[in-house]
Amino acid sequence: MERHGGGAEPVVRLVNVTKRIGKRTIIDNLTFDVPPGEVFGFLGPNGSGKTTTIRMMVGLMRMTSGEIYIKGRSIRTEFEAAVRQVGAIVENPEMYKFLTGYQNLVHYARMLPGIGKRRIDEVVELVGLSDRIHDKVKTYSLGMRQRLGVAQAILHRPALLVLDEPTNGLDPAGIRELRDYLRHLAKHEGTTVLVSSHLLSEMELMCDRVAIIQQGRLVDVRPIRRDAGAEKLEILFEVDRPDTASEVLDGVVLRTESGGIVVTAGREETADINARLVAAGVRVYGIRTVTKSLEDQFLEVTGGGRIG
Amino acid sequence: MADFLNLVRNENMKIYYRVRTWVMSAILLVLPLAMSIIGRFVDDSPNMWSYVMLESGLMTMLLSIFAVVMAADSVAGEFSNGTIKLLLIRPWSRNKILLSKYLALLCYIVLNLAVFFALTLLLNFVLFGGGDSGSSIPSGWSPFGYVTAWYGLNLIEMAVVATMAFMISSVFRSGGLAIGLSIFALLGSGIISSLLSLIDKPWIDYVLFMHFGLERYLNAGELFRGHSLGFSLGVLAGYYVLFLALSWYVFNRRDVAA
Repeated sequence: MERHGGGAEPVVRLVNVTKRIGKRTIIDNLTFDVPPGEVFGFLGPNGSGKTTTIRMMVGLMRMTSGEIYIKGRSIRTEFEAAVRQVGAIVENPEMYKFLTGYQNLVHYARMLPGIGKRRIDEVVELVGLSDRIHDKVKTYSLGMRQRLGVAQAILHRPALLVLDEPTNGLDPAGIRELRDYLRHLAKHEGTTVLVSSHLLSEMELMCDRVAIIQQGRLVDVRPIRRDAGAEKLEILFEVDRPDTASEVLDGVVLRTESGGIVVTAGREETADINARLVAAGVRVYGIRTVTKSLEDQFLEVTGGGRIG
Repeated sequence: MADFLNLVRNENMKIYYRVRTWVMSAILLVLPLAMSIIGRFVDDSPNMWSYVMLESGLMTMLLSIFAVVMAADSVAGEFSNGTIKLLLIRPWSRNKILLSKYLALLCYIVLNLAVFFALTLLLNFVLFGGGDSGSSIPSGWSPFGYVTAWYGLNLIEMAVVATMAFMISSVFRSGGLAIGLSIFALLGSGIISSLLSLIDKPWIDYVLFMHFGLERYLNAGELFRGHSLGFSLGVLAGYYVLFLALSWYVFNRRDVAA
């Protein structure tokens, strides 16, 4: 298994987690760690077992075998101590519709020690619901319910925030806002965030690391690169004469495409190559990176994403 | 302990912040008021105790139905609205969460019954005065003593029926089924028990339906199949414990999947 440097204790640790329902194995021997302070993505096609795993993580479902530790506490044998560290939205943020947003928060605050009115107000302010918090939840839009969901999840400043498909049904602005907010939590409050999704592009923007699962099995855990400048990437030069360009560069070219050439280069090399092309009289119309998107990687590792 | 009371407060909040609850209570207040006031003007020989008994009979029936609705919604409602997920991921064991729901339900029943008991006595005393109880109270009982005992037995029955609804709600997560079956038990027990009486086998003495209608034990000499009040209470207690055990067992083990 992948080891994370620095010796920091993982916030979540799954050890050989298996879930069988009848004869069907839903989750098969899942083992991975979620390191602290990261936004950790949990990625898989529909029906791959993301939600089941999350439900086991928060004690809504039992494991058939294996163990899940939250900050070293077993969710099975020390449920109350383990779940105290967790705030979560499992699927849709369902609230009591006949209560106001505020009453809903009071309801959850009462179930946790040491959360007063001040903290509730603070959280309401944080998620930007101050104007409507005293309205009944049934009058809320989906986006507002999502914010209220986040509010109840972070009331007790959990070490781990678990969000299952948090962007479902949100408009682009709402998604953007949520994404910024999660990154803020991870960066400034040290909260570890675990997000599940089947929206690959979303995860790419949101996460530091993703675990990919398929048919209940872990396929891969990989970091997501954010700073493209430091490493060599595939760069596409759009030029008028690809053949000439490839002669000029002599050997650097990875492949020639219609209307362009692809090279592997770092930041500075890219500029050098451009200068050489221009000096040789090749017209350069555009330069862009052809990073493999997470989607390509995902389809690659899951072999086209059969739905199991 | 104070922490646990917070859970009960939460459940109370979910009961009393709903319009439905207050509509039910309003019906429980308005109906007897109307009956007594109409009676005051049309009845030639009005009698406080006969009105107390008339209204109590009707209202306990209604309150039983309301209690069943509350019990059925208590657990199944959380499942059907999806709120159960956010409720169970708190640092509380499922045992305690279910207990808080059950206690809130019992409080609702006791509170309503107590308010109604006081209301009907006060209302009819004011309208009709004390006086002779006539034929409405069996001989050998003081009117107040009889009414109190009558309410006590009805409270027991109501608790058993509501617990049955609570159990079905917890086991099947279906409010409709819980309401349907419990009200069927409540209203159909008379018919079923007379049908069962035709079968002359010893096991029918232990069927739940044979032991509803406890107040008939108050009229001495009307012993049903030779049972005593103690025997009926014993059988009801057995079912009560069974219902509770089933509710807790299933709720604790349930995978919250949907």
